[in-house]
Amino acid sequence: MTTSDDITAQPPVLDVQDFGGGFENQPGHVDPVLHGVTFSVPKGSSTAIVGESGSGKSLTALSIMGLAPGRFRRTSGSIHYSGRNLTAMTEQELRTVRGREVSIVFQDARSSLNPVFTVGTQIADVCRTNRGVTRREAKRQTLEMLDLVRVPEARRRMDQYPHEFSGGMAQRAMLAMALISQPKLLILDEPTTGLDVTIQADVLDLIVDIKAETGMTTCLITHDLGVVAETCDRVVVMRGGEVKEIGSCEQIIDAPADPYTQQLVADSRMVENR
Amino acid sequence: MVALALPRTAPSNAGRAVRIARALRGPLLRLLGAVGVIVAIVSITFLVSRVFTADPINLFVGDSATEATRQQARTQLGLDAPLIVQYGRFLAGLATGNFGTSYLSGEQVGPELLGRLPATVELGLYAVIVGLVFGIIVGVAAAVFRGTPLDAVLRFFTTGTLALPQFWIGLMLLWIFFVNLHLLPGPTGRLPIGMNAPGTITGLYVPDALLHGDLATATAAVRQLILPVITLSVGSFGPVARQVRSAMVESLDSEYVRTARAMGISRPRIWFGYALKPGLLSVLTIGAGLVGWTLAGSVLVEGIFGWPGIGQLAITAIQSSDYPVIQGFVLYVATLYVVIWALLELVYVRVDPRRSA
Amino acid sequence: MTAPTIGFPRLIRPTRSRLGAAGRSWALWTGVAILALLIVTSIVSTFWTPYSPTASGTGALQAAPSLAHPFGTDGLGSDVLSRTMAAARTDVSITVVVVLMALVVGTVWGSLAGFFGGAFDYVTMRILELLNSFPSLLLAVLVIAVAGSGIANVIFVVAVLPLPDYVRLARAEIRSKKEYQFAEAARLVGRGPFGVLFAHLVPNSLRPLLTYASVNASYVASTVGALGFLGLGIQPGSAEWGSMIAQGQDAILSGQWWISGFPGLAIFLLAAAFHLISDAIADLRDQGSAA
Repeated sequence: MTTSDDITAQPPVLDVQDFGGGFENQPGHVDPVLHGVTFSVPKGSSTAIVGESGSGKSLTALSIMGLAPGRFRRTSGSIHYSGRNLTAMTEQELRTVRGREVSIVFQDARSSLNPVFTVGTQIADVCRTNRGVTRREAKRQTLEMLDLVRVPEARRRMDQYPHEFSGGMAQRAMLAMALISQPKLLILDEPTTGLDVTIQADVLDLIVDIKAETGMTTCLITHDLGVVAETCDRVVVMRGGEVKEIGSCEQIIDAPADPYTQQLVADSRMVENR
Repeated sequence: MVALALPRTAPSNAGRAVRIARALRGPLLRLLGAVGVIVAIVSITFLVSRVFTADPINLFVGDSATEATRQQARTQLGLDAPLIVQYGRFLAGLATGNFGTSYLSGEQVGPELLGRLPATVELGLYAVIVGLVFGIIVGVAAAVFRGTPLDAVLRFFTTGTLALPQFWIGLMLLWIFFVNLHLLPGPTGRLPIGMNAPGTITGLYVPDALLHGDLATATAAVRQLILPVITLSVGSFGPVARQVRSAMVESLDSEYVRTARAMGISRPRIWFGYALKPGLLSVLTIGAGLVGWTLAGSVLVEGIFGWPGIGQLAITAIQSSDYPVIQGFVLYVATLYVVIWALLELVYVRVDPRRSA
Repeated sequence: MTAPTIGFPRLIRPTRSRLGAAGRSWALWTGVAILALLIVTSIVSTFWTPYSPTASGTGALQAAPSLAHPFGTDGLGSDVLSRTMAAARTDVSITVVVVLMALVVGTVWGSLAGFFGGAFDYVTMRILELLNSFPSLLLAVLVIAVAGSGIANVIFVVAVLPLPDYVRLARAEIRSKKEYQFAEAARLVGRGPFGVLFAHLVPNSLRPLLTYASVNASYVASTVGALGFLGLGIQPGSAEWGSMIAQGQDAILSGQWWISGFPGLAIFLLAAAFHLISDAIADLRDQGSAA
């Protein structure tokens, strides 16, 4: 594994600067949720954003994709991807980034997949949209990708619907869909929450392996420090819509500076020792 | 009715006979249930009509007829037998395809209904298609542009069609397009007076005329159809538009549409592919209602436009207590309705993957 | 650490926006205003109408709308405005009576089935299935055809038609609530089963029933009109919107639209008022459950 010094020396793929915003629950009045969120994701790193629910980590991830809910209003800051300002893009421009440059895996893959189309169709559709290949070629690549994410009997599985998949299998399919356009940055939003512990471990191993093979940059969003220790080299700690601490994985876990981070680390140790 | 969906993969060690028996159990039970419903409906109509109504004998003999003539007519029509015997005769007749004779016209009910069927089918079929197409378009547009003035306008329009009485719309359309603008023909039925029907192939005038290469008749038939089809389609348009809108709104808000957007799928592709399919499937759930509204509507609309279909026959029969015709009509509607229900259920299980699990 | 919650809280309902909120109250008040207008009209018509609604020859035959006869006159020279006003009494009161009957009977029936379950519940469900397997307006037409016309029969039939929906709604509501704490508490302080059901469970289940009652009212108004139009409702010739439309049917073809036109608009107003109200109630409920 590379040391943290090497990583921070790399130019950032993703640069979130002073990003703030909230929900316009009543017309003309914005209830703030994110406050000056600032962090960057260096090229080739695996950065984790850690925080409990309500810390704003998932909303930050959705904002990067330009998929924040309709009532969300940005009040400050910007998000740059490879030097391009995502927050200033139109829906049309964002489409050229989504999928091909930045992709995302949501939690609860089974409801994130369309229930009335086969899994194979959905993945192949993404492939055709972003890579402009023929239907046949898209199907071939889908098969290859499902093999890569270790879906057994991929050929048969392709023609099944999401409800015929188990949670772990659906998460692999979701991963295949996110990877098929060969994005440079992959955001994983709580990819293992809700899965059985053993399946969680399998999926995490898979993510680590794929990252090692492709050298892709990843950004893992989780509430679970245990997961972070196994898979990431940089950690961003968030709470209440603010970034509390940023550091290398070792530093955060061994010598947390912020009181909230200390609390978080202590709590997760307690869970582990039980 | 509850679908008795079978698991797709039968255990491989089960015997062939067992598997066939299992596969047939669902459809068979459903068929039995359907026949039961039809028999129940027909029996209830029979009994209620015999118990509650005025003596139909007045239809045959004048008010001034003597009791003796009345008694004679009753004997002739079989109305003197005890109710249970009449009921038995009625069921026996049904089993042999004999629906009885109209009190009013003296015609056999079966052939009479059958002869009028094509007119109703032609009108009802086009009306359902028009209602579905416009309902889906309006529903999708309202969902995609929800919260905008367009949504408000479409919603207003849809509510309007739900609240306006169908027969009144028909009359007002006639007043505007026939009486005032002279753009469309008056209520003279399927063709203008004096024009001959095309040779029967399907029984539907427009395709028949086209198949015979008779463009003039086809055009005339289409012009006759425009107003009644619009009027009748109003009945299915509103419910379809509402159903599609709410299903589309739900799927546009769903996590799977968010996924599709995150993967860079274009917006039109999301609207007309990813979000529409669940919306269309939801229309199937009101499919039986669609048939019901159209049938009920045809009873109202056919009279207004002089349309020689089953609806008009039924209304005349109802207004003059012509029991055999009413019975035939009930049987026809009940059968159609039950068959449509069963078909839709089969289709739904096939096309909606969530239901076959 | 706190328990892992599933991702992103669902507090956000995407853009129902300003227009939504404004539209909602607008719809509600318009609906209520129209309904109030119709009710006032029907009350006023009991002691005053411009002309007697039953008198013929109050003006020329089939005269177009004028100052003397704002809605014109019909084929017998009766004043269409007076008749439309008098008909409001018939149609509005039938609609209200029918919906109240169906609401009360359906709620009681469904609540009992849902609360006690067992054989009664089973029989209820089978009856519902049978009623559901037939298109409702046709059922109304047929029952009236065989049972004979007249106000009592019309009210009875039109009230029976939506009954399955009320029963089903009430049953589902009671079943979902019968294990709730407030029901349990009422049981503990010694309330009998009927006390628990009607004093505690039913009042807490009324909202969806009232929403449905409002939609149902608009269908009842249309159905009563349709039956009148077919000559199956109230005695043909009496002041009722549907049969007034039927009376003017032939005149339309020679250009006299007002005889059918105004009663049709009246049915539309009554049905639309209930539609607007039910839409507004349903939206309010959505809003409530989203928060």
